[in-house]
Amino acid sequence: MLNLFVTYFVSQQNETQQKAIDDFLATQKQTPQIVSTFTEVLENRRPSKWSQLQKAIACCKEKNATLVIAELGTLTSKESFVNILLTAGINFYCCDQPFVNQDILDALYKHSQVQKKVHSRLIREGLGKTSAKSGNPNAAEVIGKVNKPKIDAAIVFAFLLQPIVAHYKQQGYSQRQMVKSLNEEGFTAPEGGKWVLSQLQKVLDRVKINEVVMQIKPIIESLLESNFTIGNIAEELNKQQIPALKKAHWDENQINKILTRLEQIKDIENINKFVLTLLPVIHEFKSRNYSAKQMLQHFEKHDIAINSAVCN
Amino acid sequence: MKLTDTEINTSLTKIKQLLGNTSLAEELEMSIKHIPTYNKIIKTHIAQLQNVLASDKHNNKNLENINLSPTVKQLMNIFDKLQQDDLQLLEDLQNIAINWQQEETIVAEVL
Repeated sequence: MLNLFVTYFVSQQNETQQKAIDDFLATQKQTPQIVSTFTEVLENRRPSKWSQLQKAIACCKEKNATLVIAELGTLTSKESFVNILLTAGINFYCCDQPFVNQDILDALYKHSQVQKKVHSRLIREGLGKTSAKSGNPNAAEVIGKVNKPKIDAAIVFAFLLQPIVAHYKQQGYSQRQMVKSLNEEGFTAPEGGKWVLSQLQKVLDRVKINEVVMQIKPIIESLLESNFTIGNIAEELNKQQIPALKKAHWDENQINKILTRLEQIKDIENINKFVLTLLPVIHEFKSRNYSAKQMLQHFEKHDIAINSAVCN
Repeated sequence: MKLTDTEINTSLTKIKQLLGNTSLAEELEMSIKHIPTYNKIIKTHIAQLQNVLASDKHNNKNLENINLSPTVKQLMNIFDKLQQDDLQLLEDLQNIAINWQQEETIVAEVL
């Protein structure tokens, strides 16, 4: 009598996974037969429907076969995956975690959810401790401030890449062709080195937000002046048929993104204006042999708050 | 470029306006952190963009005849103006600026 199996891989099949399946099948007393194999391809590591898993389960039911999962890994933390498997009512075997059955799978999922909560609590507590140690009640804000130069540089970098991207789009290049061309033309990735697709995609997202922000800046500013709420702004942009960022229509989430970027760009421009105004002044002071302290005395004479303790 | 006293005063007034509710020490700190990051990531890429645009593939364009973002133009201007020891001077200014109030308080207490 044949012992039927349906094999299931997540991402690409590899030798290790295949060997695990072969080893498992070799332990079967009755002659094993694989009736079908399904491979789930993860896009951005988030398949929402687990379509291949559903097909594999349907196949198991039809053939009265056992589902053999090549590598369960950390899939026990994925609610949608666990739900499908728990409600399927089929026999399954996980090669990398053979002890997992229906009950244990449910327990593992619940445990992963608890772990997530604990992890998030630990992060919050850690930030609290950092706050207590540093005496700063806004540690999270401080961390954001530390990252600000890098975030701002990434936004400016997207502005810099914009003309090249516009040219590539005119030529009808795909994203892969863009990566190839950038590498060939000697325009390196942000931190130097060759581009990879995922890196370009992140920058393209920033380019897109920058473009949209610059296009609709006057409209948004005028709506904000008229005290429009975020929801009203979304409605107004939809009414004016202004193309949304990614989805078909504007929503509050997209408006928030736009407003955040608008603020970030304003911030960047303000810091730049400050530096551009300051540099000629300190150059002049330097040529007059002023010490740093004398320079600051001049600033103070002009009623400029030197630090927050002396801010008005 | 030499500045007259009037030009310095005008610039200081502009700096006061730009600062708004932010102190000079805070803005100096922000500038000190931003400039090296921009130097590392943006400056080299401006040169690369220039080379890419100048190629036949891009119809021999240059930085002047493309619609470059104002923020990038500002940074190009900063890189032009920035002298070798400016970052050090900005850091010195910021270090003294942070303790400015304390110094004033100490002087007041002594008096």
